[in-house]
Amino acid sequence: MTSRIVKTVSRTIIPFIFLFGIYIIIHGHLSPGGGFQGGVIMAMGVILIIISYGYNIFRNYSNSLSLIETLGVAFFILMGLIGIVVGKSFFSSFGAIWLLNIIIGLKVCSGIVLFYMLFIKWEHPP
Amino acid sequence: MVKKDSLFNVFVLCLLSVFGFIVISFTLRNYPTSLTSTIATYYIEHLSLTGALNTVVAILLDFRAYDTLGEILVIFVTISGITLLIRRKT
Repeated sequence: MTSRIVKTVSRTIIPFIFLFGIYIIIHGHLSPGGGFQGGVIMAMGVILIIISYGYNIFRNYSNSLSLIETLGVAFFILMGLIGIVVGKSFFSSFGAIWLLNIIIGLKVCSGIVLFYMLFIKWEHPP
Repeated sequence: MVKKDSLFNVFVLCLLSVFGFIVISFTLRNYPTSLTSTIATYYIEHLSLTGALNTVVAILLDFRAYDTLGEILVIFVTISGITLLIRRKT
């Protein structure tokens, strides 16, 4: 396991990482950034939790992460289909860029955490 | 043996320099700027349609949303492939 210094520093810094990621996501249509970048920052926060506190506390959340990932793709395509229902073309604009940013942020966050968890899965036997 | 390797290296050097000359001559060519400038000015002038102030996000999520769909599907397919390959037989 990691030392007490790593645990204390990561416990202090993780809320700020999540706050910064959420800020990047929900200000994506106003300032530089967007869903992809904010999602990666939030995923780095989760990976820091996994590094400092061990993999076993996140073992049971793998299925819900893949559910978020799949629902993110489904909702993104659904948002494109809403453009057809409104009467414009596929993925046309109806002033919902912030919603697309939130969907992409959640999806990229869960996706990158899933990458990490898939690669270190067999290093930590249950 | 050494002589053969050095001959091969000289051959590769000639091939790479010919390729680099072709690429540089294509890069330094003066392209007409009318096509790109009309598209760029269209994006900037119609930015108010999208409801976003950030031009990059407006292009990625509104004018060219297929690109973002492709990015998302790349991550999705990659995770599916890794899950399929890393699966341990019990």
